[in-house]
This record gives sequence, C-alpha cells and structure tokens, in this order.
Amino acid sequence: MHRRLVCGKNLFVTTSSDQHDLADDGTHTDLAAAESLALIEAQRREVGAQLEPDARLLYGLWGLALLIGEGAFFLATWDDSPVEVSMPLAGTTLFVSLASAMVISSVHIARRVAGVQGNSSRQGMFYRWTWMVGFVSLAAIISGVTRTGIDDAAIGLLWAAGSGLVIGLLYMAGGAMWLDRTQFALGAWFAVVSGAGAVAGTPWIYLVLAVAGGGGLLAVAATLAARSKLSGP
Amino acid sequence: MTATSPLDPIIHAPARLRLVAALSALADGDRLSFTSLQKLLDMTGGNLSTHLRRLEDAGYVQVTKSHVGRTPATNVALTRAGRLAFEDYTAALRALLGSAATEGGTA
Repeated sequence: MHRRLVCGKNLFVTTSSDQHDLADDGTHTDLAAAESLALIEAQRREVGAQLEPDARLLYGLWGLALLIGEGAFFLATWDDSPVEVSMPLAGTTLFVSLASAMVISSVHIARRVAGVQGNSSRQGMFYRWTWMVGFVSLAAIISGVTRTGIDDAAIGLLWAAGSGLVIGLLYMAGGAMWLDRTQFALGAWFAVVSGAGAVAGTPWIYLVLAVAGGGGLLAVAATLAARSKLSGP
Repeated sequence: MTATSPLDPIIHAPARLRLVAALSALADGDRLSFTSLQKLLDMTGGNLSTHLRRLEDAGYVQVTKSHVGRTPATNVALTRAGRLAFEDYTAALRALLGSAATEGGTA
C-alpha cells in the first residue's frame, strides 16, 4: 500500500453541498486525519462541558458552605474563640450557607442535565433521592436519640459527625457509580475525618468539618480547576 | 485500506461528524433532546433535521418523539450500528495517521 499524494490540506475539501460532501479518496492526508480526530475530540469535550455538571463549581460551592457554616459553629462552641458568635447566629449561618449551596447546585445540575434522557438521568434521580433519604433518616435518628435525654453538645456532635458520614458514604458511592477516583477518595476522607472528629468531641468536630471537610472540597475544586486550565484549549 | 474510501461517507461530512461525535459522548442508553443537540452543535433546526434524517436512514441514529405534558419532545441517540460505524470511522482515521507515520519518509 502506498500513500496517495497530498492533494488537499483539509479532509473535507468537497463540502460545498450536502450531496458532494464525500471527500474523494486521495485527499486524505495525515494532517487531515489528525484534524478530523481533533474535531471529534473537541466535540466530545464540548458535550462534557455543556451537559455534565461542573465538579469544580459543586465542590467549591459545598466546600465554601461547610467552611463558613461549620466554621461558625466552631467559633460558637470553642472556649478560646477570638470572636464571639452566638449559637443562634451560628445556626442561622449554617442554615443559610447550606441552603444557598443546595439551591445553586440544584439549579446548576438541572440546567446541565435537562437535555439528556435515559440511563444517566435515572441514575442521577436515584442518587439525588439517596441524599434526601439519607439526611431525612439522619434527622429522624437524631430526634429519636434526643428523646433519650442527651444534651445540646451531644446533639450537635451527632448532627455534625452524622452529616459527615452521610456525605462521605455518598461520595464514595458516587465514585463507585461514575468510576470517579477523586470523588471516591474525597468520600473516604470525609467518612474518616468525621469519625475522628467525633472521637475528638466538641468543638473539634466542627473545626474538622470546616477545615478538613470544607477545606478538602475547596482544595479538590482548586486542583480540578488548575488541571482543566492546563489541559484546556 | 482498500482502493475505495476507508471512511464511511455517511459520517464523513463535517456536520454529521460533529453530530455523531457528540452523540458518541453520551453514555450507553442515553438520549439527547433535539434542542440540546441544536444548541450544542450551533445548527439551525432544519439543517440538523436534514443530517439526522440521513443518519436515521442509514440506521445510525434513533429519533424518538414523545410528549412532555403537551409539548412534543424529540430525542436522539446513536444506535448500536451507529456507534460501531463511528468506532470504525475513528479507527480508519487512526490507521491513516499510522500509515502516514510509518511511511513518513517516502511521501
């Protein structure tokens, strides 16, 4: 087999109309084939960029929410806190930051995945329900335990460590489902530090969730952003 | 490579190549709405319909029409034949590149 002479730079030299868009054999050059492969790659990347939720945004958003919300709880419960934060203020801060993160990420995900139907959308729906059921069940468990007569510090500890565990397990499950090593590792990290934070007790559990949890998410978001900037067009 | 073009003429047109490449990026069992596809490829509806029909006639894509409430929704997915044809197409491109590389000195 010998290669034909280079007749045209572009593989699609005869594309003036739909009927004549078949490039004549012989116009293929290594350059043109490379261009076509690049076109395919670019198009596939574009699908990812437009139809998949942006992990940088989601990790960044939730990292910030945890850093602020759990950070406020840490400052409210830490005896040596340099700033005075009341418990109601800490509670409000946590609620507002988590609620904002939830609204923004829901809107973002809904807009990205709106055009895709089928297996992925079913997977996504089941996964969203898993988060919901996990947290509703956690709330029920804590309210049950509360009735046995534990103090506020123990309730706070249960909420913080329990949330960290649910987040950790769901990230690990997400990593398993989407074969996402980063998400899986992040989940394992969350689960482990939540357990360790609970052993350390109040107020350290809040510090752990704010810095190791929220900070960890922010670090991953920053790493992903830097990596996509490097490999981007 | 045979004497005839190794590249599938159905796929081998810029617009349809982008269209098939986009659909190939979907996970197995997923469909993409016509409007999303149109936005993604930045094509007019008529243009996209024409190319889709050609791919549908070749058995490469499946176009399903359904209703979301009262508004009609059209979804598009690659068929198994379409995915296979696309894989063959990219393999042929790689082969062209590969043969070019090995015969680089003789061209």
